Amino acid sequence: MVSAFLIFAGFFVVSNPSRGAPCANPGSCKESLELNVDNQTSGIFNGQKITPPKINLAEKVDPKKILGEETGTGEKHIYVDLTTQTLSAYQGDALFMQVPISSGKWFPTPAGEYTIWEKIRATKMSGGTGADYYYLPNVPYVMFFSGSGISARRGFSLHGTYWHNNFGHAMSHGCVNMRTVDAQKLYYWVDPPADGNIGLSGKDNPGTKITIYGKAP
Amino acid sequence: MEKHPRILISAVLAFLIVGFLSVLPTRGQQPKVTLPNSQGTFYAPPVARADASQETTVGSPDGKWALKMKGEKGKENVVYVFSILSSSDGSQKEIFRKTVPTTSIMSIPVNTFSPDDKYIFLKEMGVGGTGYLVFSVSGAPLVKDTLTVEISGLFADKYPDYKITDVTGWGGVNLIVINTDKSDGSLGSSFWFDVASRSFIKLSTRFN
Repeated sequence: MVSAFLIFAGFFVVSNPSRGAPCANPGSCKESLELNVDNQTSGIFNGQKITPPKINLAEKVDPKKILGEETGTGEKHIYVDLTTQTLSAYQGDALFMQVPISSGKWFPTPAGEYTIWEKIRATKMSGGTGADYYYLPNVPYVMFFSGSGISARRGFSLHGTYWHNNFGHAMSHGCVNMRTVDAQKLYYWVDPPADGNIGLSGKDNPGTKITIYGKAP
Repeated sequence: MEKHPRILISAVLAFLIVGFLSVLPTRGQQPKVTLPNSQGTFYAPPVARADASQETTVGSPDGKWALKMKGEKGKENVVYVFSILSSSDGSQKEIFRKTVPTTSIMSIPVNTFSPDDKYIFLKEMGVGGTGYLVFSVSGAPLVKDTLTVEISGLFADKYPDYKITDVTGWGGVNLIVINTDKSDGSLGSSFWFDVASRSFIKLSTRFN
């Protein structure tokens, strides 16, 4: 009986890999969900040391300077096409942004319908083993999403990227990597709006919807 | 007789487990997508165009710098001039120029900047094939007195059984991503080109 259970459970995990990993960044599951800035520590990616961007949380940013005057109306919606490795953001019928991204290579970015539940200015992400080990402080402009069976605590997100520049090609550990300059623009555009360096969605403050579809090459 | 209830219980439990798992929210299921019909202008990163008569600018991923390419077309040659633009103070500095026959086309790949903005790579398509030039953003020589390193030639010397199909971007601060085919036409490996050591690293996974 036990063996029957194990066989079925094992089959289910193998056939559905997104269920197997505890979170998008296994080395920092809980920490990655919190605002975290470390301007002293180096990052590591693909066996190389990299200096993270310095982040000043006290800096006041006027979103209008980033976005200009917003004129769009209607619901905001983000589409991530894994096949073409492209993100398109719409407000109503108006296309706000269309940029290349990098989805999961070492772990697939899950397709589905999601909502942004939290956004934070920066956090730390780590995970992987051996040559794939990564340790990345100051990951900028992080927009966490949940839905389609992916819980918030799994930590899947759209975020800026300072450790590679291979956009248009799968390169992440499950999150949606964006050029930092694109992520900044999207961060100030999406709902919920940020109160300081954190934005949390709620009943009266719903997050922007995200549809992830297609299959990474 | 005692065995039968056990088998029956196992079968029922297995059935219940499968049933339970099947009603859990499905993950990885493809949503139906209909993109809105959109018109007008929107934000998108500049895309390099291989047109010598036009000026092309491609930004760094952090938005701090941009590489500008300007082609000056003559009767037999095209002079390509590359300059670095600073977004903070608007300054502009010429860092590289190259004269190529009109049968060759130079272009700036979208992922041209290294993640730390120290290096840049360019693509040159000519009659003899496609080359990839790497050089320093500062304009300083990359190797002793040489301003640039050309990847394709080095790669062909080192790996004659592989042919570069694409150079897509940067997998790390010094690592350029190279995809290849084998000389028999089958799918080859991906490689890093380590700019710091000017060496190639064959990878076990492919970066499509």
